[in-house]
Amino acid sequence: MWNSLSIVLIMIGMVFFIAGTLGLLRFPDVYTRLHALTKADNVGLGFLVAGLMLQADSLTTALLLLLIWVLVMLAGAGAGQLVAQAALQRQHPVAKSQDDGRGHD
Amino acid sequence: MVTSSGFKLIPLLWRAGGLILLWWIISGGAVESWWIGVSAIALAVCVSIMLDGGDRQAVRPVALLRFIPYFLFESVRGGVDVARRAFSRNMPLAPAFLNYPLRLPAGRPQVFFANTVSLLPGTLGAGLSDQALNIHMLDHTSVSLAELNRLEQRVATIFGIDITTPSTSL
Repeated sequence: MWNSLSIVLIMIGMVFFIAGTLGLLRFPDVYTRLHALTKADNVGLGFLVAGLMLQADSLTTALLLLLIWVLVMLAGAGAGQLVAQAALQRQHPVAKSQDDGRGHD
Repeated sequence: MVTSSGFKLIPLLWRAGGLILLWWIISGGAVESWWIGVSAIALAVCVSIMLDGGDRQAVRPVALLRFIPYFLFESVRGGVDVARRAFSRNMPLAPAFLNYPLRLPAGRPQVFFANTVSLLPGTLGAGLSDQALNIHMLDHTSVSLAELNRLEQRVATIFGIDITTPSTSL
């Protein structure tokens, strides 16, 4: 029962990781790509951590996994803003219209 | 930097409690590690007092706990939104920037808000300037100011600040 719930959570996490990577490749500029990375990957890691917590053999291992997620989230939020700020200062091109995304398929 | 007049015991205990929990987690509950743990925690508490002096805007633990379910729910919503756009064949995006004037005071509350804005669907903090946050929107037609105001209000509650009245003295 717990095992199958764990597998389902990890699979959901994988879908978000794929979405984040796809967004990183497909989105038109640095700013929109940051959305894909910070949001989709954070949620992906959240589901992955939740799935792995069910597999943990001790409470401290489970809490350690939770701690990793919190730290990655903090680092991601901070780094995302720094990258966006740096890109703005260097006047990286900003995608305006939705036809800018040509995709890679 | 440590002013004895601004010294508060309760925040100190919260901090020490948090560090004890942290040590317990990373040491896996090994009893023999507490000998090092206790000295490291004492040192860390001292350093943290020296680093933030007396101008610390205290977090209200209960309000912070109440923020967690909202945070998780909005994170998932934000993740689903961006994933949907990434998977969609025609990729519906309408990116734009927004200069959001802040009612929160500078320091921790503003930084906390800038970090959590990135979790709401379609918004990303892109740099604080004085009393305003530059926000990048994935799709400006789907971002609502009311939602941003709500988040700002929630952050204010965490720090025990009242932002409903126009702030002139801040």
